[in-house]
Amino acid sequence: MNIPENKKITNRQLFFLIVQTQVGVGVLSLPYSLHKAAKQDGWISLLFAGVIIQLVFFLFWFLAKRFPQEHLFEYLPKILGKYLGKIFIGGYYIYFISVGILVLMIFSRMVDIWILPLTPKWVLMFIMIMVCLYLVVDQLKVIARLYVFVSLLLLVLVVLLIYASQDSQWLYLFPMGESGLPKIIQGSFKAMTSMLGFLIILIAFPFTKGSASKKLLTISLDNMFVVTFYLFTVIVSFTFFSTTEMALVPEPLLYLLKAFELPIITRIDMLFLSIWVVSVATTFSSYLYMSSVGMANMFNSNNHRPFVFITSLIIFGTTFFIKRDEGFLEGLNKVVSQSGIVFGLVIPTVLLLLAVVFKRKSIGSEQK
Amino acid sequence: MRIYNRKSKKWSKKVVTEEHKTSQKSHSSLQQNLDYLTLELKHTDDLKVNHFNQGKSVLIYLESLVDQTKIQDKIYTPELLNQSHQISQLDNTRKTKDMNDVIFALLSGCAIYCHDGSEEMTIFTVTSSHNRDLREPDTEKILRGAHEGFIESVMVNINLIRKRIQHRDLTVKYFRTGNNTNTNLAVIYMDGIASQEAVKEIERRIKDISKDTIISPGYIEEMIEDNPLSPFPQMLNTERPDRATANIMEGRVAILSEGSSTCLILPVTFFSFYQSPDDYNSRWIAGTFLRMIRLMSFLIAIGLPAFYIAVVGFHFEVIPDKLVIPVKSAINNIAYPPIVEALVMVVIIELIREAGIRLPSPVGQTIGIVGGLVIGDAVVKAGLVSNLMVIVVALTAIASFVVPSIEMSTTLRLLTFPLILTASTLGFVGIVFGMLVLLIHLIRLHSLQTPYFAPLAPLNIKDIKDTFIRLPLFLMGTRPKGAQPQRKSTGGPSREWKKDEHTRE
Repeated sequence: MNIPENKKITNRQLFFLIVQTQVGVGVLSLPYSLHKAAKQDGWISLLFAGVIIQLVFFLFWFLAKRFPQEHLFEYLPKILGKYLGKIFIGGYYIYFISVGILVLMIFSRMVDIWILPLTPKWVLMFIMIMVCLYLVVDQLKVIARLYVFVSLLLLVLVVLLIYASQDSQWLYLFPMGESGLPKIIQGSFKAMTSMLGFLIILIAFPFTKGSASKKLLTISLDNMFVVTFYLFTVIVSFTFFSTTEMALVPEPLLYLLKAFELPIITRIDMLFLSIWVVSVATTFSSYLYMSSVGMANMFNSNNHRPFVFITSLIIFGTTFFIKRDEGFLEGLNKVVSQSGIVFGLVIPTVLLLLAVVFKRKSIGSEQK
Repeated sequence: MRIYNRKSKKWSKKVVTEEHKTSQKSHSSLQQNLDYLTLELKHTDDLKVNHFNQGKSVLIYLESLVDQTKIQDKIYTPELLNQSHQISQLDNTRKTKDMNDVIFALLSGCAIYCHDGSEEMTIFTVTSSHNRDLREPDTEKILRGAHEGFIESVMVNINLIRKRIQHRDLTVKYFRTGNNTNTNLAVIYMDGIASQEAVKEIERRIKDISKDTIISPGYIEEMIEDNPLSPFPQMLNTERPDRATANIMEGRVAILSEGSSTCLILPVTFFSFYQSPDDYNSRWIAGTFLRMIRLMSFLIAIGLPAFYIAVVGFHFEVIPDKLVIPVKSAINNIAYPPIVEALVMVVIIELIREAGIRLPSPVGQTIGIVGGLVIGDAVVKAGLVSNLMVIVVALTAIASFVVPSIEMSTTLRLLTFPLILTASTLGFVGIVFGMLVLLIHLIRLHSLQTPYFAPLAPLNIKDIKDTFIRLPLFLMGTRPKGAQPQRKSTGGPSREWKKDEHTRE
C-alpha cells in the first residue's frame, strides 16, 4: 500500500506526535515513583532509561526501515505468518486498550482528588472519550497538527516550573549514588513506563515524509527532548522537597506549585492541572488511534474510522463496569508497565531478529 | 417550458438556465415572431411593441428594464440622421435568429428590432442601471485608506477591482445561477497566482448549484462551502474593494453577484477574518499591536464569562486573597447561580443589539442608553445580577465586536454559550474540554482544501508574519501558503536603495 504524499506528516509533526504521546499522565507522578525506587538518585535512573530507549529507537528504526511503506500491524503478519500475526495484533490491541483505560483512570482519579471531588468519575471519562473520539476519527495528519499546536502548552508548564524553582535546594540531590546501581536500574524501568508512548513510531513511520535517516534524527531528538523535559521536572521536585518529604507527596509537581502565588492567580497548580488535562487527552487520543488502526488491520480494512467508535465503546464499557478502586488501579498499572516492556521492547526485538534471519522485507525498500 | 422535475440528481444536471435552453428558430413572418414572444413572456404588460414602416417592422423591449434616452440615442437619432440605412444596419448591434436568445436579451434589458420577411433579429443593449454611490460600507469602516465600497452592480464592482489591479492576468469568469432568478455571478482571480485547482473546484461547485433562487452571496456560500455544519464562516464576506483586491493578489478567488454589494473570498483561513485594511495603512508596529488586541479579543469573547463562572462556581481559591472579599460580597446576595446570571446578561445584551440594528439611529442611541445604563444599573441594584457579572458580560460583548468581520463576530457570540455551559458544569476542566473541542474543530476544518487554522496548524513559521503580528510589507517576500498560490514570490526586494546609499558615500 502506497501512502499518498498529501496524507503524510512532516518530521516536525512526527516529533511532536511522539512527544505528546509520551508525555501525559505520567508527568505528575514520575518524580514520586522514581524517588520511591531510587531515592534522590532517581534522576540518574531517568538518564539510564533515556539511553536504553535510544537503543530501542535504533532497533525500531532498523525494523521500520525494512518496511518503509507499511506500519507495524501490516508487517506483523508478513513476519510471523497470517494467523500468528493476527494473534499478535490482537495482543497489541488489548495492550493499547489497557493503556487507554489506565490513562483514563489515573486522569479521573487525579481530577477527582484535585479539582472536582463530587463529579462521578465515569462522567469525566465519558467526556474525555468523546473529545478524543472527535479528534481521532480524522486522519493522522490532523492529529499531528493538533499535537504540534498544543505543544505550546508544554512551554507554559516549563515556565511555571522555572518560576517555582526559585527555592531549589541543590543539596537535596546529595549524596549522589547512595542507592546503588541495582536500585537505580530498577528506577529506570519505572521511568521507562512513563515514556512507553514511543510505540507510535512504528505506526507513524511510514506516514512520515523524508528519508529514513532524517526520521532517525527526529526520533532521537524526540528522545532527548522527552528525557530533558522529564529530567527537569524530576530535578525541580527533588530540589524542592527533601528526601523524606518526597515520600509523602504522590504528585510533587502539584504540591510544589501550590506553594507559590501569582498576583492574578493564587493556585498555579490549577493552571498546571488544566494544561495537564490536554496532555492526557493527546496521550489517550494516540492510544485510541493506535488501537483502532490495529483493529482495522485485524479486519483487513484500510479505514480506521469505524473502529474508533467500536474501540471507544469498548473502553468506555470497561471503565464503566469494572471496579474502580485503588487496588485495581495499582494492579492495572503494574500489568500495563510490565506488558509495556514486552510489547515495546521484547516483541519488536524478536520481530527484527526474525525479519533479519528470514530476510523479510518489503519490495522496494532498498531504493527508498 | 421549465423543467421542474429535479428529484433525481441526473435530472438536475440537465436543468438549464434561460440562456442555455435548446434553440428555437425565428420565423420569417413578423406576426408569428411577435405572437411567440408575447406568449412566452405571458402577455406581460411591460412588454412594449413599437411599430414602424406601416407595421412592417417593430422594436420590442421591456419598458421597465430599458433606458428611454439610450433608445433615443442609439436607435432613433442615428436612424433619423442617415435615412438611407435600415435600423438593422446600425452599428453596435448583435444579430440572432434564435428566439430564446431574443427572450434572454429582452430579460436582460435589451431592445429587439425585427422586420417582416426577415428571420434576423437585431439586439440593442439599452439597459438602464440605477446605481447608488460608492459609499464606504457601514460594517467595515476604517480610519485611513480608501473609503469606497462595493455596490449592487457586478459591473461597477468589477470596475472597482480592475481599477486597482491593472494587469492582464486579472481574470473574470461569468456564471449564471439560480434557475429562475438567473443571477449573474462573476468569479475573479489572478491567473498565474491563484491556484488552478482552487479555481476549477469553485467553478465545479458553482455549476452544481441548481436552486431556483440565488439572490445573494449568502445563498452561494451555503451551496459551495466545505462544512455547512460548522459555526465558523469558511468564506470571507467583504464590501471593501481594497480588502478584496489584497486578497485576490494573495492568490485567493473573489465571487461577486449581481444585486449584492458583498464579495465572497475563498479559500480563507481563520486569520483572514482578523485582517483589516487599516493594519496595512498604519505603521507596522501599530498594525501588529492592533492584530494582537483583536486576537486577544477572540479569547476574551469566548472565554471570559466561562472563566468567571468557573472561578466563582468551582475554584474560589484561585482568586488572590485581597480580591476574595470584594468578589464574595458582590455575589453573596444574588439569588441566582452564576450561570443564570450570565445567561440573563448575555441575552439582554443580544436583545439590545438586535433591537438597535433596525431602528433609525436616534432611536437606536436611546435604546443603547436605556439598555446599557438604565437596565445595567437597575439590574445590579435590584440584586438580580452581580455587578462583577455585568462587567464581565459587557467586556465580552465589546470584545466580540472587535473582529473586523460581522460573520466571525456572530460566531464568537454564539460560542460563548457552550463554553458557559461546560464551565458551569465542570469548572476549569470543562473549559479545557470546551476549548479542546473548539481547537480540534478548527484544525479539522478546511476551506477549499486549505487548512482553516493555518499557519498555526499545520504550523508554518514563515507565514506567522501576517497573522497575529504584521511584519513590514518589504519583509513579506512570499504569499501566505494558506491561499495555495501558484507564484510564491511577492516580487523583488524593494529596499535596495538602502544599499546604494552606502556605496554612494
